[in-house]
Amino acid sequence: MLDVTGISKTFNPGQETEVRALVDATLTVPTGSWTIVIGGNGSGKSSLLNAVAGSFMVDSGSIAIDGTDVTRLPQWRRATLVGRVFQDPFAGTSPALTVAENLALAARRGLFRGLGPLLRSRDRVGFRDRVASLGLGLENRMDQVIGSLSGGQRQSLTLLMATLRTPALLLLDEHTAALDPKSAELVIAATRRLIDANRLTALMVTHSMQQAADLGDRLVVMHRGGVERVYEGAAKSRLRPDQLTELFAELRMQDRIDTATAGMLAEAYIEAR
Amino acid sequence: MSILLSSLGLGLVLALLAVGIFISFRVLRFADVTVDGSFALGGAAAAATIAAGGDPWLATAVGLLAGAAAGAVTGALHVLLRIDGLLSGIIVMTALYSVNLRVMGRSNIPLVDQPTVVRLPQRILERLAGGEQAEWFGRSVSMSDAAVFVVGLFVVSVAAVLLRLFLATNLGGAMRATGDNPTMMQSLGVPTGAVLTLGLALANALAGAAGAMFAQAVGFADAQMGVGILVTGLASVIIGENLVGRSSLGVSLTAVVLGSVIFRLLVAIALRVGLDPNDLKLITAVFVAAALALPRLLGRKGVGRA
Repeated sequence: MLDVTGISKTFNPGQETEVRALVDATLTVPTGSWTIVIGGNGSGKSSLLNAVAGSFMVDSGSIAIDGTDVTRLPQWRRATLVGRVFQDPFAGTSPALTVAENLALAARRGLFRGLGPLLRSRDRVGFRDRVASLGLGLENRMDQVIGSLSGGQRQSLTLLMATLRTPALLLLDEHTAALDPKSAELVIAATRRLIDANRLTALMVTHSMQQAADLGDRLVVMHRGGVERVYEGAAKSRLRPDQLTELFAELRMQDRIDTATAGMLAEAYIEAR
Repeated sequence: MSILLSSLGLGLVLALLAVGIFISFRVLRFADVTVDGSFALGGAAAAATIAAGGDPWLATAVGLLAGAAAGAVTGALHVLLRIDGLLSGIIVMTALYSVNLRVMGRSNIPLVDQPTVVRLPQRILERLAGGEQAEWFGRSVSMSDAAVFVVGLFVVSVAAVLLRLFLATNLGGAMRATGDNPTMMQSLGVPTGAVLTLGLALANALAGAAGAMFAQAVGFADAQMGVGILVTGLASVIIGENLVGRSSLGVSLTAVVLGSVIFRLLVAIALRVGLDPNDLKLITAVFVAAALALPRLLGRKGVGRA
C-alpha cells in the first residue's frame, strides 16, 4: 500500500540551522495495516508523515501510495489518496464555516469543485448520522460555525472528515497530543471505530507509549531520521509500554556515547594538529 | 434632495468596489492593495472603449475584465514567485499607474458628450418626468442623478446576488475555506494558490467594474481616480459590518453595500457643512485607523479585523 523507499530530507542544507530530518528512511505499510510510528524528539517521525502527505518534497528516495508514485506530486494532488488529521486540533477544520459545510468540503476531497451547490439537502441526512456516531451531540449543531466548538470536538470532526471519502491511506500525526485526557480518549475511540469499520490502512505517529502498545498491528521505531526497529505480528501484540520506555533509554544512551566518541576523535585528530 | 440622491447613486456604484474589497480582505483574508490601480484601470479601459466608439455596457465589461487581469497578476506574483502578498499588490498597483496612462493615451478622458450606461435610463426618466429636473417630495431632483441611482442599484444587486450564490457552490465554499484555513484545504485536495488567484481576480474584476461605472457616472476617467480608493472601500466595509452586522454571508454582503452608501452620505454631509475636500482622505484614513484600533483598545474582539 504505502512504500517509502530510502527517503532523505535535509532542511536548510549548508547553514548553521541545518537539520537532517530524514536519513535513508525505508518503510512499508501493507494494505489494511494500522502502523504506529514512535520516536524521540527529532527522530523524524513527524517528518516521515509530512513527507508522505507532501508537505515538502524529499531530497532523494521515492514514495508510492497504492501503486502510484507520488514522490513529486504536490500535497493537494496526493489528497485523492490520503486523508489526514493534524496534531493541531484547529488545523483540520475551517472555523468560519459551519459543521455541515466543513463536512461537505471534505466529502469532495480530491474531487473537482465546480459550481454545483456545496451543501445538498440529500447529503445533510448522511452527514448528520455520521456526526451522531461520534457521540458528542454535535448532530444538533450542524449549522453552527466550527470556530465555536472545542479542540476535542473539532479534532473528532477532522477525523470524521478525513475518512468521509474512504482514503487509500489515513495519516494521523500525534492527533491526540494537544488534547486533554478525556478528549484524547474519545478521539482514540473514534479512531479505532472508523479504522475498523472502514478497514482503513493507517499510519499513525504518537508520542504515547501506551497508545503505541495498545493500538495498531505494527510498530515502527524511528531514530535519527531512519527506521530503527519494526515490531509486527506476535512481537507487536506482546509489547508493553515499559519495554518501549527501556528501548528509548537505550537509544538515548547510544546517542550520548556517539557524541562522546565524536568529541574524543575530534580532540585526538583535529584539534591536536 | 439632489445631494442625497447623487450620494446614494455614487454609493451604490462604489459598493461594487466595497464588495470586491470584502472578497479580498474578509473572504480570502488577503490585504490586497491592487484595487487602487484596478479601479482606475477599469475606468481608463471603459473610457478608452467608449471614446473609441464602443458600447457603454461593453466598455463596462472591458473594465471588469481588465480589473480581473490585474488581480490575477497580483495573485500570480504571490503564489508563483512567492512575493509577499502586500508587496505583490503594491507592485501591480504601481505598474498600473503607467498602464492606465497608456490605455487612455493621456491623463484623463472626458465622457460628458459620450454615450454611457447612465444615458438610456436618464432619457427614459426625463421622458417620464418631462424634463431634466423633477419635483420629488417637494424638492428638485436631477434625472441624471436618478439614473445613476437606478443603474447602480441594478448592477450592485445583481453582483451581490450572484456572489452570494457563488459562495455557496463547491468552488465558492472552497474559496471561503481557503481564506480561512489553507493548510486544511490542501489536505482536502484544493490547489489553494490557484483558488486565491481566482479570488483576487474576482475581487479586482468588481473593482474594475466599479471604476468603469464610476467614470461613466461622473463623466470622466482620470489616472488619479483610484488613489486612496482602497481605504475608502475598507471604511465602507467596516461601517456596514458594524451598523448592519455579519451574521451570515447574505447579511455581510448587504451590510457592505449599505456601508458604501452610508459612507457617501457622510462625506456629502461633511462637505456640505464646510469640510475642505482636500482633508477628505486624511479624515477617511483616520476613521479607518480608529475603527481598526478601537476594538483592541477597548479589549473587544472581532470588530476591527482588516
